Amino acid sequence: MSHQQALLIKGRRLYRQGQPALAIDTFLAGIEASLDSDENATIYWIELAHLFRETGQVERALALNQYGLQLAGDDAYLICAARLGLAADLLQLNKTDSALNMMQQVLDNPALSTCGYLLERLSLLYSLQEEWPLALSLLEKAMALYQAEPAAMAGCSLALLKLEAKALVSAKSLDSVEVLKKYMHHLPHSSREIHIELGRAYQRLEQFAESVEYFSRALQLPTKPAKKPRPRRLSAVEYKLRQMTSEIEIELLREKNVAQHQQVQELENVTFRDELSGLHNARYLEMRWPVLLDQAQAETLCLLSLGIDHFVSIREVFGSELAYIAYHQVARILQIHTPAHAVLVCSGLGSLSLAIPAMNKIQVEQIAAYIQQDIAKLESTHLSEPLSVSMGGAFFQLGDTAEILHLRADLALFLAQRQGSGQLLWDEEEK
Amino acid sequence: MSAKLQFAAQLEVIAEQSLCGAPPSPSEAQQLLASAGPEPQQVAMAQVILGHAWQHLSAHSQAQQAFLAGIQGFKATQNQYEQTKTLILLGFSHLLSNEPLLALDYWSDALKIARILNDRELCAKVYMGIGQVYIGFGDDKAALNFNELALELARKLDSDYLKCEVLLNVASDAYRLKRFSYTLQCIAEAEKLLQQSVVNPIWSAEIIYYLGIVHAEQKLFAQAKIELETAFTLSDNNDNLWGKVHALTALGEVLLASTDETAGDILQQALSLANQAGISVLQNRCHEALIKWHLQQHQLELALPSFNALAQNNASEPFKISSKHRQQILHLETQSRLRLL
Repeated sequence: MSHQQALLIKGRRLYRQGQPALAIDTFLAGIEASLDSDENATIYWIELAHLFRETGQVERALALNQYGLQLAGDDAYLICAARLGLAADLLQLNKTDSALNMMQQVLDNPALSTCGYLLERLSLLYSLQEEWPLALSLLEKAMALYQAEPAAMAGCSLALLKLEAKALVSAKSLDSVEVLKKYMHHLPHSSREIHIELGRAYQRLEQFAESVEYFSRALQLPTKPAKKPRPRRLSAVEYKLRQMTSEIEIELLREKNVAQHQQVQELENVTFRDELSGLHNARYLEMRWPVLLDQAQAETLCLLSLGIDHFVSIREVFGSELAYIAYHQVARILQIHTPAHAVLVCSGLGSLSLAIPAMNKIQVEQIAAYIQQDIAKLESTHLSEPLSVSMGGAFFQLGDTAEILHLRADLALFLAQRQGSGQLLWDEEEK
Repeated sequence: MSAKLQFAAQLEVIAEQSLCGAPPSPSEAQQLLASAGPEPQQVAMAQVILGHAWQHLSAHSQAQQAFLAGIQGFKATQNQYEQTKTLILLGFSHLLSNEPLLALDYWSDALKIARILNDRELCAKVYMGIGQVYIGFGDDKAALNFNELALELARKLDSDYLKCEVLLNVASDAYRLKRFSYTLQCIAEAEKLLQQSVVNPIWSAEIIYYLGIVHAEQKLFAQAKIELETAFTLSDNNDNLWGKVHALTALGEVLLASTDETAGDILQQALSLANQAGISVLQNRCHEALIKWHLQQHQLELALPSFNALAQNNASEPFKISSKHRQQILHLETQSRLRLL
């Protein structure tokens, strides 16, 4: 076998086996080799023309086949191959008369009867004209010449079954089925198609169990992924959409932020506010302790516990309403005098806590004095004695926890209230 | 009220009904169109009604022509709002006729105008459409994202009708992503809206249909059967082919799974409707179920038509010659031809 023949068979086999790109590489290698060695490259051009026709580029196929015919010289085989190709092109271009004329010119060609491949091509031409018996007999003749080429045998027997289905012939199907079953493993990429054709053949032969079996197997075999590639235009539209979508999303986010901020405030009011005084409650101070204590490592932190003197008896004697008014008034005064970074909370009915960071004792006492002054100014003629607030103070000391600091300030307040109304007493450590 | 005003009011009512899934027949719509003349706004509106009428029968090409005529009419009268609404409808029609890129083209035009009009309802509708395109490309997550964005807009607008429509879309995406509890949650919300303030016979049927398919997935076949039968009846009452074929296909599958003896007949009916509507996904599902049914009944021969139908799917596509190969071929051809000179 010549190098050219070997390349040709290899290329045709690759194409049958579903590897057209490798087949093209092989034919191109053949052309390159021919250009270097002055061999006739006609058959490769005809093969390439066949591939162009298969991809729907019939005009290109026609041009290459014409070029092939021009190169063929007086070689009967090449002339036959080129004319068969041209006839197929013309049929596809609906130039039936010209195609038939071209076919007539090859029927007497001696090369035809000795080459399976040419017979296969001629069979295809008859098949395109729906001349089934002729197409069938030519394909059978081709198979007789292909005995040494299993991939070609598989391809032809598959084509034969398809033709028999179209020709509604079933008498010979069993033979064709057996041949295809024998050679089918040479065309693994066509496995699904082969199983379907076998299913159809058995259906024609009324062997339904076999038919169902082959159909079932076919449907289990993977098809070529029917992936729908994202078209380029989708990406272009996506880009435009993304711009507009971003604008809308930003708008929505802004609105959502405003709504969330309101929700947080509402929630905070419910969770951290004392309903009566409107001040933060003890839970709020609890939440703030970690930060306050952390800061207290570097700067001073004073905790004042404040209590309205005789608050319980005010409520019992003068009623809740008056007691709450008094409580509210005291709360307002404390709010006014609370320094910017201090935390004022209501710690119980009539009692409050004020955590003051970064201030020394004198500064705290100054604030306490202002508070007492304002409280003294409150109208309290309706009460048995003037309204007053006692205070107990404690400064954070290394190792203190929030509870200890509270305890020290509360103890000082307890002592202050025992000593008399309106006192500020410091924890033992501060004295 | 003058005859002219009366006709205008009648047209408004029919347009609303058409939008809500109950359009007139095409011949009735044609008559409306003939009566609409010379008022351009009314002609455009009648064209849109005609579009709905055709769309209801899955006659996509006629529907598209009518919608396009409506768009041109609204454009001529500078009614940007109606123009955008009809652009959205046209997009949906193209999507249903398997032309998603054309749909996207119309929707991006619609979105542009909707942004100019600062109309979030229209933006939400466009997003729903885009969601459908992503479904077509198999990207259910992206579809869900767009529909959730549309839902957010619908909630902001507090439009029950829009919310209901988007909720059904989100439910559909969630179902495909197998997030069944999310699906049921959306369905429940949409159902409440349909009970309270929204009237749309197509959606009413769809709600029951989604319940049926979710329950079928959860293998609650008895419940699914009742729901899908109801969905079919509702779609049948409304003469909605899309709804009928979806419900009947799912019902056939449920009956098959619960070895009901009527499964074969129902699946045949579903197949015939699927063929009529030209919905290949449903045709395939019917064929697959019919194969199982016939094999269960040991009727091998009867299963073969369905095998043949499924075998025709995914026929191998012709290969393409790469541009690199085409260049190589051209180069060698030139070299070869030069030698002949």
